[in-house]
Amino acid sequence: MTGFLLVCAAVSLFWTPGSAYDISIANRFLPSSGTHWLGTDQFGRDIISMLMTGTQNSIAVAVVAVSIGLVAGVNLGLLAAAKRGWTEEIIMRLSDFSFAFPAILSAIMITAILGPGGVNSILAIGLYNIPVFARLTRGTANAIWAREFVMASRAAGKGRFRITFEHILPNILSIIIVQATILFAIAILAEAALSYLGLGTQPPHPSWGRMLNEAQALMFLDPMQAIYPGLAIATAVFGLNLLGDGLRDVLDPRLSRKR
Amino acid sequence: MTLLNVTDLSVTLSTADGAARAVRDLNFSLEKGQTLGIVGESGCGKSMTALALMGLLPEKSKTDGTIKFNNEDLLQKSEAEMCNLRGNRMAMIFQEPMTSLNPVHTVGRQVMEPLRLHKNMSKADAVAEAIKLLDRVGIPNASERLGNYPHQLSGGQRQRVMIALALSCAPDILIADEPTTALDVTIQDQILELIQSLVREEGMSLILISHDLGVISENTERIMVMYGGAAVETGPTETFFDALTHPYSQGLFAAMPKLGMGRTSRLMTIPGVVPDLINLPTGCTFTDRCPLATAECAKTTPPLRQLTAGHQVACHHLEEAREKRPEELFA
Repeated sequence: MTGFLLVCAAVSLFWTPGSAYDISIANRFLPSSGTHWLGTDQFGRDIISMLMTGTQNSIAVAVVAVSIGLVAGVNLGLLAAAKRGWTEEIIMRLSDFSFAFPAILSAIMITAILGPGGVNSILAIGLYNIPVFARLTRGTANAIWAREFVMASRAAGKGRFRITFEHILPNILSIIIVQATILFAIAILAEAALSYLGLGTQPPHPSWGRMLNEAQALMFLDPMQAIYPGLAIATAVFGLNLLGDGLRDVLDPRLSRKR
Repeated sequence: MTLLNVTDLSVTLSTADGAARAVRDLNFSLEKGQTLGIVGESGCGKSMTALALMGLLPEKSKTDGTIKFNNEDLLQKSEAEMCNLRGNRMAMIFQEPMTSLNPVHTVGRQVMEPLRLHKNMSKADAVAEAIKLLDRVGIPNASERLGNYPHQLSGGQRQRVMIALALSCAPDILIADEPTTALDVTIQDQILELIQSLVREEGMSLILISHDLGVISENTERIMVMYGGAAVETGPTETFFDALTHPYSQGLFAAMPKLGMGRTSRLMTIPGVVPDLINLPTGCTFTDRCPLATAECAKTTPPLRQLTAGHQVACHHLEEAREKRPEELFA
């Protein structure tokens, strides 16, 4: 499913059945047909093309946002686990603080401060992801630090920095990857939510969330317009969750051994 | 030449319930090439002593005294300086070979790490050296084993790898903390013999830590018995068991199963449990379990007193304890 999404996004970079941007009032509310596979919206734009271009948008936002969270969060988490003491205390209390706000609320807050727009919504979602990764990394890294082979490698004369990258990171990598795929799904959802609220991707760029928002007003006139982007979001999130589960089974030797 | 000289070593761990005095005023020294055995039951401070020597104690601990290693005080050294010593001049083998190797890296990589870290060897040199090392510790097909992951090796083989790892930079001292406790008896002997022969070949000093008097007596030149974080009896292994005096040491000796013991005869035990390190009793810590204890024992801590050449005992009732046999003491 995720593969299908990626293909959609990739194809839409070069080709869409119609144009996602061209407005043609004469062709509004067309049902599915050969030229407009899923029909057109209230401005006569081709829905399938908009969905495909929207995939691009969703994936781009999610990739960048998750990357921000991943890089910053994992580093902070590793640092906290390696240094302990005050460093750990400060990093963890800061992430507790940011956890006190619900995800969407903090994203809205950030976009409210920085102004709506695609880049700012990426930033907002990315910032929200940092403490998630930081906590996960610190927790799992601490568990690895307590293992005997870490003590053994300290006895072999390795410093904290070396141990972190040679022993801790490889042992927690699979957990972080799984978390990243799950957060990827959440990021897509969050982007759709922000766009739906008008805080994310701005027109004329198509986005699943904004398509939903626009279709909402026309719910009784043309319900399919709302159903298509809704389906797209649901498919993407479901697919990514399945991918996360699958990856965990493959990457976690303990789980796969049980079978 | 004195390689290691420990004076008044104390380790205090801060726990949620208060300060635990894991090691108290420990004194011992070790000549180059000498082997020392530290024996005692769980929680007597033997592992903490080893970790203190390596500078690997948990962060929430305080270490007092001096540890002179090659005439340099280890307790004054920075973490970076200690990193240079660890694995290079001093090495340690741990109790659990099953978990002492990182599961995500190959055996070869882990054996090569100290070589590359401390000796700045090139990869090719390190590979050659690692094969030689694995060969020396008795791992067959060493060159093939380099590519194996720890889970593909048996417990005994893993401990051999740990030994190879510890010996890779030819350290001055090897600290083996219960190296065979997790292995079965036949492997135990092989591993101990291996450590023995390697230590002798390299002229290394060895500190062997165990709760097993038998293991200690067969593999060391000096024995130190620890109880409640302090040394209660120490002496040369050769005459140690003839001169066995401290009621606790005698109890340990008596608690060992002996060959030819009838099926009906019960194993001797020392009544009671080890003292709580947080609320250590005043006086001799063995008082409440000791058959010879008097009012004086509960009041003042007995100092280590010279019994014969090199044999020291910390007990108020030296003469009385000396006359009694273990069987009589714990009848």
